[in-house]
Amino acid sequence: MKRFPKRMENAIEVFEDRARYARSSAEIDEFLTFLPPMPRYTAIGIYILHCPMDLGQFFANAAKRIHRLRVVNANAGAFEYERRYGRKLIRAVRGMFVILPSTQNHIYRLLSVCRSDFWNDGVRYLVRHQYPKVVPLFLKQGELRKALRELRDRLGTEYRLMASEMSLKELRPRSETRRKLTEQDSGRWWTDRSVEEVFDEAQERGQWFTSIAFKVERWRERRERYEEEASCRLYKYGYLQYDYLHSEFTQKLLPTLEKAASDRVELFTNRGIRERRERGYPPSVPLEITYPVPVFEDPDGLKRLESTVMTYSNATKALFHSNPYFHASVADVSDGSSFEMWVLSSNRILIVPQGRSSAPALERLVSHIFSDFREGEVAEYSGE
Amino acid sequence: MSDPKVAIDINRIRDEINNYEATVTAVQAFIDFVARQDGRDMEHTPHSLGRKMNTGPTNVIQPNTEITPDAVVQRSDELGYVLEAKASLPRDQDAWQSDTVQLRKYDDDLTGWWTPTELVRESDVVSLISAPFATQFAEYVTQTASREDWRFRGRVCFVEFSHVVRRKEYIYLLMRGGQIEDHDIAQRLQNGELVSWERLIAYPGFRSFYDSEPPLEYLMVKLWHGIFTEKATDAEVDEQRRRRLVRVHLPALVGEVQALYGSTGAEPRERQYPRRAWIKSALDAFVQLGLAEQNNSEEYVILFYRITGDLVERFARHRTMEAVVERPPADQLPLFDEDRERQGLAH
Repeated sequence: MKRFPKRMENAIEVFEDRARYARSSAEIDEFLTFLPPMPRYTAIGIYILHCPMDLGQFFANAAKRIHRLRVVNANAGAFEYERRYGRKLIRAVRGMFVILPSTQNHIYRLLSVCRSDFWNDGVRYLVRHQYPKVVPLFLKQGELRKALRELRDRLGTEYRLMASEMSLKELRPRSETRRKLTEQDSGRWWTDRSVEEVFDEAQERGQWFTSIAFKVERWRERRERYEEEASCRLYKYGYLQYDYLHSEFTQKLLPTLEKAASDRVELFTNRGIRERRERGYPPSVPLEITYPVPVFEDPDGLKRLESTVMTYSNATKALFHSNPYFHASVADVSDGSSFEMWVLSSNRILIVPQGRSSAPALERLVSHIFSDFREGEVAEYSGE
Repeated sequence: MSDPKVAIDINRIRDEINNYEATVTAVQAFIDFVARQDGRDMEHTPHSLGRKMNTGPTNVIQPNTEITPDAVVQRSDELGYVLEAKASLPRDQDAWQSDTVQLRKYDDDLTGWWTPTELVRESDVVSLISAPFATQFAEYVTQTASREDWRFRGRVCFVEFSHVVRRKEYIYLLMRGGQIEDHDIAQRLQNGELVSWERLIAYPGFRSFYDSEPPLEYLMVKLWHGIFTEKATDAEVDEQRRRRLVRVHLPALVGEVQALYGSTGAEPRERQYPRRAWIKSALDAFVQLGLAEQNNSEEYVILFYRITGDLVERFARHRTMEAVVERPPADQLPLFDEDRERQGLAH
């Protein structure tokens, strides 16, 4: 489909050129606002990341130890990264990214204009390997929905958001569940309905999105129809990619997501027994993940949780008890944090922080439970 | 495929862990129940899991000595309860005599309460027994106590504890015999009292340990997860063995574990736990499993790595290894000539 304004064929080169010579990250941010739509297979990607220290400074330090990560413009927080991978067939990706501040403390935006291979095999790989210093933030279904609703409201009545494609997961019906098989089905779903409608339908069907692609369409008075302005794909793993309307996405969509993520990080901060003692804080109250339905009423719920916990990566696990109540101990090997997990009611998981319990480790654990078991509400234990 | 011998052990070990957790939770459930009865919470009710108390000169079992009940809880300057908990009892009732003796030891004007004189006017003994044994044990003790020389001076109360599943999990406390001071408390215990297990876990002062030795695997997991995993993040790496070397000094480790998960004995009357001997046993088990090396009696090096699978199962292997070591030598042909000679098999 032809678009107006015309797609910009050399977007990556233009972005990299600006990243090299910009005087600040704000200048790059502003520059992107005026860019025409990206060419096909190229997108502006933004990763929402949590880092207790300045993320630009972190990558500047990391550049000293990470092969092929280079600071190209310290003033603008711009970096170049190249990765070669594969054994028989050596492949390589190369690109640039910049670090931008967000609306929240300790939350940053890592932005790149690139093709999907650099994003997936370069940026995401690099970010994943910086854990626990840098943590991608998980976005819940409700948070995605709220953010998209707010985007629609802020864009105004002449715009609408139309879902085009979703990657989703759903629980497999019990009769079809066999041991050693995943108890979730995943799939892709193409559609052309409003974002609100697809969220409603997913809720009804007990599905949750891994990502949702949508179009921003604008009403054209002259042609008396909606026309596509931009397309975007929002991932629950804390990143999004879009081809146009940079300022709309960064000013009208991201703040809601960043606020949700930041609130969770704050909830997860200063939870460890040792940390609280050293700081003179009273002992921590456990965290709870609550569900609106009694997911543990059926022993299958506990079995699924057990399987979720036992497949938690980069961690060691100990199962003390699994039925009728659940008690396990989990330790994050990268980070040194440890937690005890209890299920003592039909709709709640208790997470009891142990000696060390960092916000990144809690974020990773809770994201894993949300992603592989079921999304719930995480808060301090209320006893309700 | 898992070894069936190990599988049997795992179930037994999980039961042991379950019993330990149930006991420590039941003790705290009782304290919570008493605190709430007085309109307070546990934090504001003087109590202790493992407080050294002194018997008086007239104690029929051990006069003028130091004893440590499982827990004590003080309701006022006038009244305190001395708790002794048991998750299981031997099948043979003859062996219950020692448990009865223990209760009689607490049947005294114990010193060590949180009052200026360290005395309360009255203290009752509360025997917390898990559900399958409570009624029989209450009957046994009552019958024994009917004999002149076994009579209790004060009140003894038998409270059964069990685990009840409803919408939530509860610790259920039910009085199975004896007497306890305070009509309301007695009434409520006779009717059965549900204490939310979740609420106990969420209580900031909740203890995973008390002054009784836990199953070794339980303590090993606590050490591996709660201490070694953290230390391993900046430990020296042995590239050849692909292990992180976590150097452990036993006295320092004991202090750390007690501070984080048990009791440091900050007050002179408070016991320290988990005890040094238990932690040493756990470290020795790590050595046996090849997960640690011992440099000297107080220095160990933990060979840390990311163990896959269930740690309880992994750590339980030390028991089967023990069994192998303890097994009498089999009648098999020795591998070396020296052994053959020793066994008189040489030509």
